[in-house]
Amino acid sequence: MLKERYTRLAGSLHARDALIERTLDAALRPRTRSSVGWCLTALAVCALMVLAVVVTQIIPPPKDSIAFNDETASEDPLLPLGHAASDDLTLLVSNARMADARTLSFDLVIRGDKVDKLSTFDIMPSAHLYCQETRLADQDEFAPDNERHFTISLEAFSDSYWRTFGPMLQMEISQYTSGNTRQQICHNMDWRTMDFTCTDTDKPLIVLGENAAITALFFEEDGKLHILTRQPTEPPVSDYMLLWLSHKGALPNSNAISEQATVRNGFLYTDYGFDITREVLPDYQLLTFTQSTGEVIRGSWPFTVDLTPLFVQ
Amino acid sequence: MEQPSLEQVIHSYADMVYRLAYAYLRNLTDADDAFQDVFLKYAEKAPAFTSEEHRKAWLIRVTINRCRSHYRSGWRKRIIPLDEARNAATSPSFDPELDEALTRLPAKYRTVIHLHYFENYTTSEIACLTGQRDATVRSQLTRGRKMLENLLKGDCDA
Repeated sequence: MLKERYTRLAGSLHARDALIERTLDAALRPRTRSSVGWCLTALAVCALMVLAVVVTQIIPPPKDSIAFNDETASEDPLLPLGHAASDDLTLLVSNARMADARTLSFDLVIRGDKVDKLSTFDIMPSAHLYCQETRLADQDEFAPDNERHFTISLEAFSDSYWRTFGPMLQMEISQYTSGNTRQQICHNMDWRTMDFTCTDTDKPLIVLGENAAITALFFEEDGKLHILTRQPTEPPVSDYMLLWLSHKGALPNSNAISEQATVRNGFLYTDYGFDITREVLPDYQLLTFTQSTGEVIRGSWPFTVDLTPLFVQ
Repeated sequence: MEQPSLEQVIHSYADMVYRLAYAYLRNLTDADDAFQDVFLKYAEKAPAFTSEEHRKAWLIRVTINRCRSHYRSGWRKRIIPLDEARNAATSPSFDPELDEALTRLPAKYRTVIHLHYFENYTTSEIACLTGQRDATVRSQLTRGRKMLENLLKGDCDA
């Protein structure tokens, strides 16, 4: 009976045609556009830029408006990311760069004509594999008719992360309007379209995967295999981790490591560097994490990963 | 195996992905986002599958991972969603008691129930899809069903 009721209820839900079309459009647009289409688009963009220049020369800005990145606007045009459904909020991004091999930085301006207060503002790669979550303007005042400027830095485990995973940077904003109504806004930005100055050669990188609790990422640095893990601190989890590295198919008893982890931004991080030679490592293909609190084993999750690509010369 | 076009794949699996996302997230807007992310990832990766069952399993796995990520978001935890007028409420098949009860179930139970009841997967298959042990899935299914029955019974009693 319960199954029938559930089947009837779930079956009544359908993906809307508009959603399907929007998804298809987003997925196919870059691949199917013809060269004529690109030329027309380029022409349209040029025309809009000329128009924008003319308009800005003719129409003076209102006196009470805040100058918006005047110094860089001409050489580094801002990318408007979109508007809220209520047109209350606008996000503008400029000057995206690799601050160092691991850190993606960019300038962000939030304009909100009717916003009293920003409650939260988080940024993370939509791939959700690893990146620190950046929270700004937490319960911060947001004056009406104003805009807020931020310089945001997102640290990744490896520079190759930015090129390999998470091309869409997801910004999530929760705002309070004057009516004390909370709204949520989510914008996606493809940072691959930006000009990155960091030209470090990509390091081999494997993302092992994630389960409900742990995200693990592997990369090689300084001749060591690094295994970095991240897990949320809520619900309460371990203060240390056991990590087993073993031969493929063998019992996980080759290497066991137990170390203190660090807590940052609501996540618990561990960083292990295995000093194992290149000749030996490709034979180790089974990795099991055992997460513990005190003497209580909370569970273990087997992962399988082929490490061979790490050592392809 | 001949690979179908992206359009064919989306049309074939749109409802499946959407229903699963909604079963997990219980929010139409979030389900929309998950739906888009899943198929954009499909388009980006363009994986080659050995069978339709393989393709379906991949889409289910990616959808579940996407939904889990959504729940893990620090931002998400701080949000109290606005009451949502579900469009399903206009459907004659809409079952408000069951819908309300499902909303009160933990997401992991909802997912297992959906895959078992609606997609007709066995617990072993669900274990493979969700990356959990078979025993864990069986336990979640039993507890989810029990909890759902209790919630529905509470509604009836009220």
